[in-house]
Amino acid sequence: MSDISESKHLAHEAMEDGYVLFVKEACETCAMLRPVYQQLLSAGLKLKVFVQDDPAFYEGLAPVDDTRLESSFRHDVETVPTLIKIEGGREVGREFGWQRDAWQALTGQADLGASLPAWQPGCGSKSREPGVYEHLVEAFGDTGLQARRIEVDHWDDPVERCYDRGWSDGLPVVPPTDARILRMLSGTSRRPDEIVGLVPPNLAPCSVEKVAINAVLAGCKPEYMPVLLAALETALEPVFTMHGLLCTTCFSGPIVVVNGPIARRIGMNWGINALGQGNRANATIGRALQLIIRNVGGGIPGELDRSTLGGPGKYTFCFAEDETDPSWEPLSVARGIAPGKSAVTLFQGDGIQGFIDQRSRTPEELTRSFASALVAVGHPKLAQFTNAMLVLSAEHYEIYRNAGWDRQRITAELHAACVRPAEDLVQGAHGIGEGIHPSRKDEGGVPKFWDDGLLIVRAGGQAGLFSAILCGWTGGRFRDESQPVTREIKE
Amino acid sequence: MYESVLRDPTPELASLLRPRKAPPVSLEGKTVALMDIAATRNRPIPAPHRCR
Repeated sequence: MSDISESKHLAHEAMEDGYVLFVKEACETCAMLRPVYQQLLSAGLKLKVFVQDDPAFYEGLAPVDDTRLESSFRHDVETVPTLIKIEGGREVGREFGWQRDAWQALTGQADLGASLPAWQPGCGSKSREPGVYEHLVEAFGDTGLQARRIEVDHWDDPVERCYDRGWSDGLPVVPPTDARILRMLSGTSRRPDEIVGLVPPNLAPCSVEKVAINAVLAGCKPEYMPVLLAALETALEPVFTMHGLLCTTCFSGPIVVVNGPIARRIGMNWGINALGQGNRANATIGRALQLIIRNVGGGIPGELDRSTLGGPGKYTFCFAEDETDPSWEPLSVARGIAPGKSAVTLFQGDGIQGFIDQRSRTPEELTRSFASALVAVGHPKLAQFTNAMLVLSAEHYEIYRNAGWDRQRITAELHAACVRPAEDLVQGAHGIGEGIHPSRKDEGGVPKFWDDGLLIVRAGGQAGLFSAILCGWTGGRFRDESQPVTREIKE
Repeated sequence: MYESVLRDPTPELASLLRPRKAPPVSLEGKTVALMDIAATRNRPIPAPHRCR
């Protein structure tokens, strides 16, 4: 990179009339055509040969070293060999690969390469190799990026400078260089200057470019961008109450569940350790969302993030649903997204409450067992106070599936099993101050959750009678003002 | 050597290096000292700046 950077300020050679040719040693077609190049020079053509890899290979043709790829980039070369005709300082014709007729027409020379095949395709230009082009744009082109430049001394560790500037969640970040940002932006068709929304708590406008910069910091790959953009737009929907979720004294943060074909395509994990570490997409999409809230929105712990204890899920909490069983209705479909479409669901939740039941063998037993744990969400005496997400593992789901219970049946049975007598729940009952308001003591049976307050997701490895309960944020008690949100991912 | 230019992930869009304003004409030819009340005792005192 340093070599490219150093040449950044060199003036590009003026386009002289004649021909320019781009070749590389590693291209069989380029090598095969050496007699043709010689033929053109012998005929008196003004031909300049730019070599992308090994100029010595073309000794005798007065090759120009273009291993920095500047000329290849400036001439927008996609394939080698590429032969360009220049007249009056501008390009008037171009051929790539080898086609004898076309080369003869462009050069006005007959009998070019008479002993060679009439046609042979070329190879990709080195300037277009993955990971190279963005560096060339950074070095020689116009990146079009709007974010302000932060210059770091060549001997200064940029990771440390990112820490100094407060851009990190505590873990090391990937320094957001132009090349990395441009590569990240290639993961979306949306314009870099498009404003995605106003990010709380500062309600700062966030462009697609800023999303990409934070995605770089988090370690995302470009193909995660549609998921991240959808997750951010979901978080910014007023009913998700991202501002409150950030500023709360509770443990909660946004939990991202991904459904649909994109989850498989970008390699997300819904299997073993789905809620844990070890998968890049799971880890970095959730982290990027949190970094956007921090860096763009200004949601910094100890400042506007007032969480009493916080939780590890506030670094990142993102996973995909297991959709390998076609008889299971995915969460996104249950929440109104068309089957086969990709979607994100954002749930305001805490960490994981492990649920162990290795003895129940019938769906009725298992439901009662789940209910005994679900009623403890938030507090055992609180009802219709928080939402909950039940992450159903494969072996527990198997018990339901073998009995023919689908999502609707499981949800309905769990709701019914979580109803408890109001007199047991009111404040002060059983010598515990916490509870539902005393005025509700004659209500009879009180449901633990509202009808839409229990979300079920399938995930986890094939072995283990262990599921997980994700407790919802207390802001969920304002049912009409704060709800989980599902949104289709547009690609 | 490391990468030398990063992009700011915050909503700040203004350039880090703002153009300097010319000193007021009334200061021409005068010596101006900047006093930093936050400076600790052992920090070197900056040299006075001579306005052109």
